[in-house]
Amino acid sequence: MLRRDVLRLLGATVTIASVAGAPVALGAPLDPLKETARAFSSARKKHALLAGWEGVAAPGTAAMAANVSGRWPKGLHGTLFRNGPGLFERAGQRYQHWFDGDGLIQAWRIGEHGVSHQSRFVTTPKFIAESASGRFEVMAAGTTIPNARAVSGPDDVNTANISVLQLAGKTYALWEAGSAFEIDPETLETIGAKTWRADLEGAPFSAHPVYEPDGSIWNAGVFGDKLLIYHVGADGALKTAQLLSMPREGYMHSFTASASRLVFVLAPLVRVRDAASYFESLGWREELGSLMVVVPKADLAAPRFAEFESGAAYHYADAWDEADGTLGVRACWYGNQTGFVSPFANLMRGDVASTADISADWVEVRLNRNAQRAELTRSAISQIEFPIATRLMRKSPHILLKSHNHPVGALSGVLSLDAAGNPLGEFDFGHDFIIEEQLYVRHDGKRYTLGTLFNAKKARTGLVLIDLDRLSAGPVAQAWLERAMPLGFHGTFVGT
Amino acid sequence: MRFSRLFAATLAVSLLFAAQANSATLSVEISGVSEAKGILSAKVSASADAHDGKSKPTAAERLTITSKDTVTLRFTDLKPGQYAVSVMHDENENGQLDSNIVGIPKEGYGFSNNPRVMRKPTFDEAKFELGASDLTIKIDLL
Repeated sequence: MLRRDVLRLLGATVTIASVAGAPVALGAPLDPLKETARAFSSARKKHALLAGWEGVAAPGTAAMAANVSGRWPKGLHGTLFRNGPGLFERAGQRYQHWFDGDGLIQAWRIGEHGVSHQSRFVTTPKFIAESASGRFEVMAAGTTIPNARAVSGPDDVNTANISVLQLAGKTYALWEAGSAFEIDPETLETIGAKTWRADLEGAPFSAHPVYEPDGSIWNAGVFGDKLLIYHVGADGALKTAQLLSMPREGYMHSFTASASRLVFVLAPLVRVRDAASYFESLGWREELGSLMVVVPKADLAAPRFAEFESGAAYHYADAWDEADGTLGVRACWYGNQTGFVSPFANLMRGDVASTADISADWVEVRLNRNAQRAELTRSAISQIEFPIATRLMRKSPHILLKSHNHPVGALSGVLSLDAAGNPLGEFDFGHDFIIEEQLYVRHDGKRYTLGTLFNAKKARTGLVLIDLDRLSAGPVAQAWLERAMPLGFHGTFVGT
Repeated sequence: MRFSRLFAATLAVSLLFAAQANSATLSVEISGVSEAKGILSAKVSASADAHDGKSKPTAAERLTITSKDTVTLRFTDLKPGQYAVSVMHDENENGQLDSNIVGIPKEGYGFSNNPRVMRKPTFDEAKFELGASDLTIKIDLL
C-alpha cells in the first residue's frame, strides 16, 4: 500500500513537471545551460529589452533599408562596421556570459541611397564546427560547456566578436585572445585568420589597436605572464613584434599610448581556480594592486613597471607626456565589482529585476618621472563607459557614454568633455533606450558622433548622428530598422 | 645435483611465467593526424620528471607518417603502474614541436586522457593505470 502511494506521488510529480514545461525525467540532472535558455525564453516574451541579448540565426541578416529621418549631412557617406556577440544558443543550451556569443559583423551603409544594414557571422573554426553539429563543442569564454572537446590553442575557441579594424584597405574582425579574422567589407564573408608573421600565427591580437599619426597601429596581446606588442604599418605590413615577460599575470582588454610611450595596465584579475572557462577561473586579488607597464616606443625591449591601487578598466582613453616627464592616463575605472567579469549576466538568463553590479568612474592615473608608484584620482564623473578621445596621444576632449541610474545598469546618454575633463554638453535618450559605442566623425568642418541606439521598449535598433556643437538638441539624423539587432561592442567608420 | 638442476630449471620457468604475468602491452591509437608527412613520436612516462623531460621515459616509439589515417603504436613489456603518454607530430621534421611566439604549438600533439587544458597537461592530468592485462588507449591529436 505504501508502495502504491509512493508511485502515485511520483506519477503526480512527473505530470506537474510536464505541464510546467519540458518534461523532467526523474533522476536526470538539470542542464544549467538548458535552464538558462528556458528562463531567457520565458522572460523574453515579457520584456522587449531582452531582444538586445537574443541573438540572430546564421548566417546573419539580409540587407534591409533603414527608415531615415532628420538631416543626414550631404556627402557623409561610408560604412559603420560593428562587431559583437550575435549567437547565444544551440541545441536548447544558452551561454551564460555575454562575451561568449559568436561574432556578428553589422554593417550600416550610409550613401545616396539612404541607410541600409546587413549582418553576417564571422565563420571561425568554432562557428563552422558548431554550425555543422548544431551544438556547442568547445569551451566558451565565460560559460562551462559540458563535454567540450580538447583544443590546441585559443584560435580553436576564437569568436572574433569584439571589434572591427580597417587597415591598408583590408577589414578585420578582432577578438583579443587570438587572431584577427579578415573579412570582405562588401559581402562581410570571412576570408580567414590573419597571420602577421609565421611565428605570430594564432597569437593574441587585441580589439583595441592604437593609431599613430602616421596611420600605423600599435596592438598587443596577453598570454599568461607574456605581453606581446605589435607595430603594423599603414601599409598593412608588420614592422616589429616584441615579446615581454611580465612580473605577474593580469587581465588586459585595451591599452593606450602617449606620443613617446605605450601604456598597458594589468588588472589584479588572475587565475584563482580551475574552471572550464576563462572568466570563471578568474578572481580579484586586491593585494596585488594594478600593474602599469610603460614601454618606450623607441625601445620596446625596455619596459618600466609601476604599481598603483587595485582596480580595472576595460577602456583606457588618452595618455600624454608632460614636460617634466610625468605620464598621464585616463580610463573608465572599476573597483572590485562582480559585474566587471560578467556584465549583464542577469540579462543573459532573463533576469531583468537585478541591477548589474557594474559602474565605472572617470579617473586619471599619473606616473611621475622616477616614481615606483602611480597615483589614481577619481573625477566627479561616474557611471560612464566607451570613451572616445578626439585627438591622438594628447590630453584630449572626450565623448563618454553615460548611465543615469538605468534600471538594468545600461548606458543611455552621451556626454562631451573638454580636454581638462569639464563637461561641455550632454544628451540623454532616457531609460527606454540603450546607447551603444558612438564614434567621432569629422565632416565638412563639423564634429559629430555616429553610432547605434537600441529602443528597449519597442525592440528596435537604429543609427543616430549627433552634432557635437548642438549635443543637447539630441540626434540631428536617425535611421531605424524594423527589428532589433543584438547589442554589440566596438567598430569603426570607413568613410567613402 | 640432478635435484638442484631440476629445482633451478623449475624456478627459472616459474620466474619466466611470473615476469610475463606482470607485464602488459599498451596500444596507443592516435587519430587526428592533420598532415600526411613528418615523424610521429610518442613516449611513455612513469613519473612527472619523465613526463616533463627531466628524466628518461619508460619507452618511446617513432613512426613516419604518410597518410592522415589513425595509427597505432605498441609498447610491450610494461610493468603495472601509472603512466602518461605524450605524442608529438613533427610535421616538418626539424626535430621539435614548433610553436608560436607565446608557446602555442603549431604542429600536432596529444596526451593520454586528452585533457581539456590550454597548456601542456601535467603528469597527473595525463596519467592512467596500466594493470596486468593489455590496454588500448586513444589519443586525439590537436
